[in-house]
Amino acid sequence: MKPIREKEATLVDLLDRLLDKGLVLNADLVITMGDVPLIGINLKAAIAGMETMLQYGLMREFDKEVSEEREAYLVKSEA
Amino acid sequence: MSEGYYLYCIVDGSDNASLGPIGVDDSFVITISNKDISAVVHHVTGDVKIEDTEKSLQWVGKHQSVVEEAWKKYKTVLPFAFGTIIRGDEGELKKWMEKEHDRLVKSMMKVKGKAEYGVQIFWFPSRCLDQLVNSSAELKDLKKKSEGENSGTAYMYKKRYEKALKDEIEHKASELFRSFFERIKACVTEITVEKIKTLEEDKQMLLNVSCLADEGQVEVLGNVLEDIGAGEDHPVRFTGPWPPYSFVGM
Repeated sequence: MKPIREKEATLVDLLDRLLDKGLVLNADLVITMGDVPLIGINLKAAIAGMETMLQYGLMREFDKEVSEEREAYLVKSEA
Repeated sequence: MSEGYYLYCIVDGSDNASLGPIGVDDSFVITISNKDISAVVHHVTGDVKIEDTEKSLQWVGKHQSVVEEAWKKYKTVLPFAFGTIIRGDEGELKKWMEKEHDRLVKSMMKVKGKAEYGVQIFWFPSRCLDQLVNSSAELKDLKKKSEGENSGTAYMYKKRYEKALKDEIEHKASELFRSFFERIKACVTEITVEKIKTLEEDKQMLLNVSCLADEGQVEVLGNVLEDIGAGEDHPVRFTGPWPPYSFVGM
């Protein structure tokens, strides 16, 4: 069995890590850029909503566009 | 005006490099070194505020792609949580790196040559109800009594039956959890338990872990998961490789 990491399928797994984990600094050292835990909750809710919409076949065009854009970007950045 | 550095990750190596305008909001990403390690950062002046979800999703994506870039280039990374900005100038950042140096290097040694993988295993409690009832004399008895003629006592037995069945399902879940957990733990360097998420009524998450593993271990892990997921009863989700967000050791 091979691990997967397609962007669409694993966005929530990624968010779980990026928002809730990783190195942190003491509060007295940081500049805050807004309420990151709240941003996390909103993002996860938005993603869950998107997944539902994708399941029902909506947003397919949008999703295709985004993946194409991302691929174009990756090709460009690797060149 | 506040000055600071947005932090993506700490990497193994010291080179004071420019990585280009690949950062959050197209910021110019550089590395700032102290001794044998470097921080991958972009310079921040003024207030940084995330206003909406769409923007934060873009920024999260950029944060991740910079960490990935650095991971490819430097091989060993300790990623920061999204949205970490250290206050002050370059000197302040170096001071922090100096102070945390030994701890950072120790974490770096731990994750060197390894990556993080997510494993989630599911089950369908409703599918084992019959089996659970049949294997317990108490449950069988309560079930029978709950179907009795006297509606008053039947109701009471029904409640007791439901409670006993719930306990039995929980017991079964923890038994399965332990057995899967031990098998996974045996083939990786380190493992952390994550929160269980609720899904649909029927399909439930039984185990959610992050594992730190090297290439050889991942292959073994893949085989173990293949085996666990072989029937229809325990679907497995296996994701990665991720930068070692769960194993930065701070």
